[in-house]
Amino acid sequence: MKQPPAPTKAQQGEAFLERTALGVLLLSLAYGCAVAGGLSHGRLALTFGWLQRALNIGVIGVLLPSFWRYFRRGPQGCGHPLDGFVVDVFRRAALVTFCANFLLLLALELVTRKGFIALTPPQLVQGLLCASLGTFGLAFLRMARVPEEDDAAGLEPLP
Amino acid sequence: MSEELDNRIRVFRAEHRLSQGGLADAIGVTRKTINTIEVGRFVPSTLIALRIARHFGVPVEAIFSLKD
Repeated sequence: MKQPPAPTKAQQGEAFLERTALGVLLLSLAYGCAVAGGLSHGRLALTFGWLQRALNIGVIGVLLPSFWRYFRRGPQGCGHPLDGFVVDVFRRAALVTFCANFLLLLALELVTRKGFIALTPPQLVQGLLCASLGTFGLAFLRMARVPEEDDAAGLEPLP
Repeated sequence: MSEELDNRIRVFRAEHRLSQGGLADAIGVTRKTINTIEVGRFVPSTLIALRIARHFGVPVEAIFSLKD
């Protein structure tokens, strides 16, 4: 059977960034479940607890292979995504996250001053982490969408 | 397309009978990067632009130009 070609260093690097973004998104959901679990009671709180545990395992499952390679082989083991589209998307997603976080903190500052929020400090921090990581993950996944098929225009005969 | 940068990568690929993946492998980036440069979603760094130009053996201005 024909083996698929080994990924290039650039492909490995992009896969590392994509897995990191996916892991971040799962982590944000886990924090969301922690907040929801803290605000709910009885069976619902238990369900959120289990969901959070499952998501935490998912985060480890998504991130561990990349970081295992990193710690075993060093940065070269994860490719070297120094430049390219996905690296640019990663930076832009970080910028979007910073702006969204700043606006959220401004809004929270106003709301907490008026005493409208009934969250405990740990819940508030978890909620902020959920929003921050979720913004990054969603922004990355939305901006990184590209058609999968290769444009083989160059392989067509010239007129 | 990018509002300011025009490129002729697709033309050069056709002349060299090269797929996006083939060009990407040759200059050390991924197919996504070449695809998004071609359609103007991603403005490449100077390094990538120079690598593409060197691969086709032409000056960078032959591939990338500012839109009027």
